[in-house]
Amino acid sequence: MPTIKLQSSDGEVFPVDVEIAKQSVTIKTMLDDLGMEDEEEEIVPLPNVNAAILKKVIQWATYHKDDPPAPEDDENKEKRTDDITSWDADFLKVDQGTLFELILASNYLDIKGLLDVTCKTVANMIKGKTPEEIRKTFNIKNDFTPSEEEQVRKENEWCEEK
Amino acid sequence: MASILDLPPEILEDIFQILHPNLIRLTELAQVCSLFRLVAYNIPIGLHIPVNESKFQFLSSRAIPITTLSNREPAMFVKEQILGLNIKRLISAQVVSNDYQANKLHLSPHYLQILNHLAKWSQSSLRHLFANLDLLRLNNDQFRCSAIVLSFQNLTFLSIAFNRHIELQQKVLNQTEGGNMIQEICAGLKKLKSLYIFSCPSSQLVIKSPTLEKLHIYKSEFVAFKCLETPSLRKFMFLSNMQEFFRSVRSSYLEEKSNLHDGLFGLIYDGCPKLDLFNKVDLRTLRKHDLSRDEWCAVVLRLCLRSCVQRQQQVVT
Repeated sequence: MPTIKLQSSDGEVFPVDVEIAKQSVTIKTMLDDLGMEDEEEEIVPLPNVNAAILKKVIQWATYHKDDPPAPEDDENKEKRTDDITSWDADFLKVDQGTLFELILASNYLDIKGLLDVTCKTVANMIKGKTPEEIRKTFNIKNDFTPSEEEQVRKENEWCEEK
Repeated sequence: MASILDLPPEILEDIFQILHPNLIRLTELAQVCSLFRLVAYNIPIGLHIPVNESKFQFLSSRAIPITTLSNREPAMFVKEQILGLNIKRLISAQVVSNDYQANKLHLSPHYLQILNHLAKWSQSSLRHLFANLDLLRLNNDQFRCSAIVLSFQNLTFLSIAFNRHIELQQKVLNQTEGGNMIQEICAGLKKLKSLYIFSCPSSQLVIKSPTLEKLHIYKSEFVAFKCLETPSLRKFMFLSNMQEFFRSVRSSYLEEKSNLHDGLFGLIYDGCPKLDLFNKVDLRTLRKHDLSRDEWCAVVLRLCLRSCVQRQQQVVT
């Protein structure tokens, strides 16, 4: 099976099967447009993905290499949060930093399946939490000024009328 | 290492959308921080009209995008709300309120205003439309309602309702306007997959559509088909159920128009090669047999009669 070499932002090179690498639309387009597929020594630089994350991405893509392509009307389908497979759930038992890096990498590499499952994981972390709990979970600073807080409170008065 | 605040807004928007938030949940998300606020108010929501005034003011002032809209109230009372919403990302609009003028034949100007507003702002986003229509023509001779419906070129689902007065008028005056308009709509919507018609005002209906997969006709007293050219049609529900179908066949027989529905099976044979279900009767098995047109029609009639009898027996027991 033909392989290509993917180079992370910190210079590490990963040989990968072409078919596995092509789950990334970004890499597929590069290979197709630049005719790089036949040149085994050619290195594909990925300046936005570091080695640790690229390794995880390759691990995910290798496991999912035989997945059927998403149906065409998938965009319009309502997404759920409870359909993450146990393998993916285990794979994504990582610290928050890695999870968000994976989201950024899958977005940059355009790997829809990985982006979906990572976003669902974050959605599950938000689900059912109050604003304060969400801030605490993700270590977010409340950056509203007192006047903005007042504006938000006024805007939301209709909620209390119910 | 990255944090949630490093995600591009469009990704955060996707994450929020996965949660299918209602407006109250969105306002909660908006209270987390300024980035969450920016993103939360960009998430499209579903809405039932009417809403109370303060909620409407909030939706309107923040231009919250609406994705599904439903209303059954007279347009005169709710149009200001609908006209004040951000419907640029509207996917589904259900505006069925039997909203006609005193003559019962023409839509009220308020209702028409709503339809025109949808056509102006949701032309390319709308996929599903449920609406009342009339048969009035514009100065350029085009039906005003077909002009509106055809402006939604991405519609995949269309449910159109007329009223009994329009249906009766077409029948009594032996007019073909209703059929002409429906034919025009079917031919013009290139992505249409499902068509529902209530009080169908045509007894010479012609439906030609290469994409149509579902055709349902309900509450229609005088409907009959002249031509069906729907090569993708899979499901055809005619007059609610089989009892209703045979009641209609009988009444047309008594009116000495015995061919009213007798010819329907022949039209289906000619124009719907992929039909799976007719009024819940499964026709798929018939494809295996190489039946002539007459044989096929006879078998389908038997299957329909059997289904009707079974249903009656179920009702009795």
